[in-house]
Amino acid sequence: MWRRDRAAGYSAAALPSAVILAILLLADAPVTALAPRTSPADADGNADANANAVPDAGSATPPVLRRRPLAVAAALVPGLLLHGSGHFVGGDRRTAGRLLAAEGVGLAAVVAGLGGLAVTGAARRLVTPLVLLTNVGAGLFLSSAAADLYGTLRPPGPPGQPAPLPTVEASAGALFVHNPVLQPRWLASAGADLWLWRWRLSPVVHSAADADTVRAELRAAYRLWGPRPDAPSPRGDFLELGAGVVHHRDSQDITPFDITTGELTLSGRHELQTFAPTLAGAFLDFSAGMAYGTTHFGGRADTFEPTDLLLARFGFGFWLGRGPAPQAEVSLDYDNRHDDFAGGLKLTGLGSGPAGHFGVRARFYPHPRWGVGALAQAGSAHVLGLQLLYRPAEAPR
Amino acid sequence: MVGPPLQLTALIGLGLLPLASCLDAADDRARRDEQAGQASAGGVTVTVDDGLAAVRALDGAALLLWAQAPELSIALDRAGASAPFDITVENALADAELRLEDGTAVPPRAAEASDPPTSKRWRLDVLTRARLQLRAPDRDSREAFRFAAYADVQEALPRVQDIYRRMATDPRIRFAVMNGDLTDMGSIASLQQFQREMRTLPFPVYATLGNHELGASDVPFHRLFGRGSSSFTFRSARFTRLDSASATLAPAVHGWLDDWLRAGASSFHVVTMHIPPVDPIGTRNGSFASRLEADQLLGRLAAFGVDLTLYGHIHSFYSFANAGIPAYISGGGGAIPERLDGIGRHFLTIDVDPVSQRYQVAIVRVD
Repeated sequence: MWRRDRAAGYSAAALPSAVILAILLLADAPVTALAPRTSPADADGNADANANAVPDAGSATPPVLRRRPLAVAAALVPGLLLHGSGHFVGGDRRTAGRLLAAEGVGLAAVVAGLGGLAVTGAARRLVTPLVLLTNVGAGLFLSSAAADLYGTLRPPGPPGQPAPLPTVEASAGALFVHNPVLQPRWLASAGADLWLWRWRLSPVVHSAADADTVRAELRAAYRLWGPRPDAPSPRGDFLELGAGVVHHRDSQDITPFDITTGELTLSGRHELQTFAPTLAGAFLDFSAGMAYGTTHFGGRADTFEPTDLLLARFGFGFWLGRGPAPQAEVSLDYDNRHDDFAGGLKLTGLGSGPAGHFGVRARFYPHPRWGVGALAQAGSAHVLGLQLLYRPAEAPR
Repeated sequence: MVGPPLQLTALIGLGLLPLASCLDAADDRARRDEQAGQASAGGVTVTVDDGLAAVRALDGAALLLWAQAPELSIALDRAGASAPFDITVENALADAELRLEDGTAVPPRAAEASDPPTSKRWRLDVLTRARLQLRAPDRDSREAFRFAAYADVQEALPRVQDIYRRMATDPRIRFAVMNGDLTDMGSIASLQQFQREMRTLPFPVYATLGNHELGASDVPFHRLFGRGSSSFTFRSARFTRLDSASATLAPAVHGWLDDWLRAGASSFHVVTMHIPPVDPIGTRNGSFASRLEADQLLGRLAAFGVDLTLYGHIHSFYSFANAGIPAYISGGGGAIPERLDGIGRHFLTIDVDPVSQRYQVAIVRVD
């Protein structure tokens, strides 16, 4: 029986979330009708391992799994421990095996990373690759679980696709930051993505009304390969090199401080339909790099001190809809940054401090030019954001 | 009816909810701090000012305290008292004196053969109400004094006597501050063992908890040691210990800290905690979970003229500055050491001149 444990610092959110999850999963009757099996057999009479997942009749769309309610339930139990269980119950044993293998690789990387940190005492000369290995492993581990869930829940029909990239996209909105230690803050946010050939420039600024808290980010990226406004593609895979400057200023308290860092990153996205047909419409995001800079303390301190940060981010997401509109993109991500509004995870028990924060991002364009974006992050603070998105009409190419 | 895409989105969102409920990871310990030093049993009520001692045992005839400061102010209320009352203070200065409010010394009782130098006993006459002062005889001295600092014993607790034997050879050490990770998992048995090991020292150790004290679900540290966050004055120098074991400070601790910073603004002020606000190796982030919280805290310490910050958590030795305040990380108590750093087990000695507010830090290597 679940017990509220105030000493552990947890609230009662876990129990109702599990109940709501169960209701959502079961309230899906029309979509779960089993389709007839039409698997071809080889010369020995063995069915194609992937043919147990039934293709939609009359289109080149990816297959959907059989026994969907059971597959969804299996993706949770024991799927959260044995990734791929959902696909296994749904009849796609090959993908199930690949997801389980991905889980194993991720887990091995996490164990190797954490074990290395423990054995070396988090030695300053070895910590960076070990932390990066742990982050990569955790990303793979969590993504294989999310992929299994996605594959069981993906609706029949053509999968989602990325929207064509606009040359210009602007955003404006609000951010709410709730940190029990710092002052809760409402901030106005504005940003843009500006493309010129392979280059993208992305300024973002968040500011409180009294300007006591301001965060400005300017990033430039060079797309090595992948879709661009001048070279559209139905696929969303990309790889890009990035550089940026982040300046965060806070003058709420008795000693104002500001943090300024320069950063270099390698980022990318990988569509999962090449991994498994049932995962069409889903993708993995990854990013790694380093940030170096200074923290300036004003007031009586009046000093600059160096700061550095390992940048690592991974995410699992999916698209909904095809074409410019209606179209949406949803992703669940982990970000190793500790210097932003969300900060790192506070945990009960031994492990508080090193981990970054988790978040959910969504972008929805109901109209070719206008859309909405939403953000929720959990780390040292709860961060909620809502944005209006705009991409101007562009001349046909 | 909710379609599968929204189901998946809701699934992802709801899956984050348990993670989102950890913002108050340190709040419960702050509530325990508020209760430290207060007890009532057998018709006796005891209150230790500022919670600077843990009430380990109390009945109608005796009181046992574990001191977390060199000096204590104790309010005692014995309804219907008809017999003497025994007071034992463990983890006290070896030469501590107990006095009534009017300055009258309470006669000490003879130590038992098994008592360490830091265990002091007194017998109080029949008094229904008394305010007692545990005093250091050198409290008015303005000469320099020395204290020691160490942290991160953890699984090396069976070998901690190597460190204590070395400490005990220095007659100038007045007391030690232990900056967290006393034990491996914070169980009652291991914390009790830590206290038993301390008995070989001729001076008290004032400890705060580290993240490894959070291994046991009920966190028994407060029952045995007292407050995780507190502040005391010794020879006009102020020592503030903060519970940063969850890589943050509880909001309540920030409130207390403001008062302590103001009280220590004109004197030599040392602030200690386990997890440092910032890690000099940023990629490791063995520090506060939020750098914004960390920088705000450091800015506040600097604004009120904190002179020295001491930390543990990282199993090595680092000397750096945070918000311009000299900082030392000393995690050489024996836990798995940081490799390739050129230092093994060690502790620090800090000589403080409270008049000039100058100090000197020295590393004492044990290995």
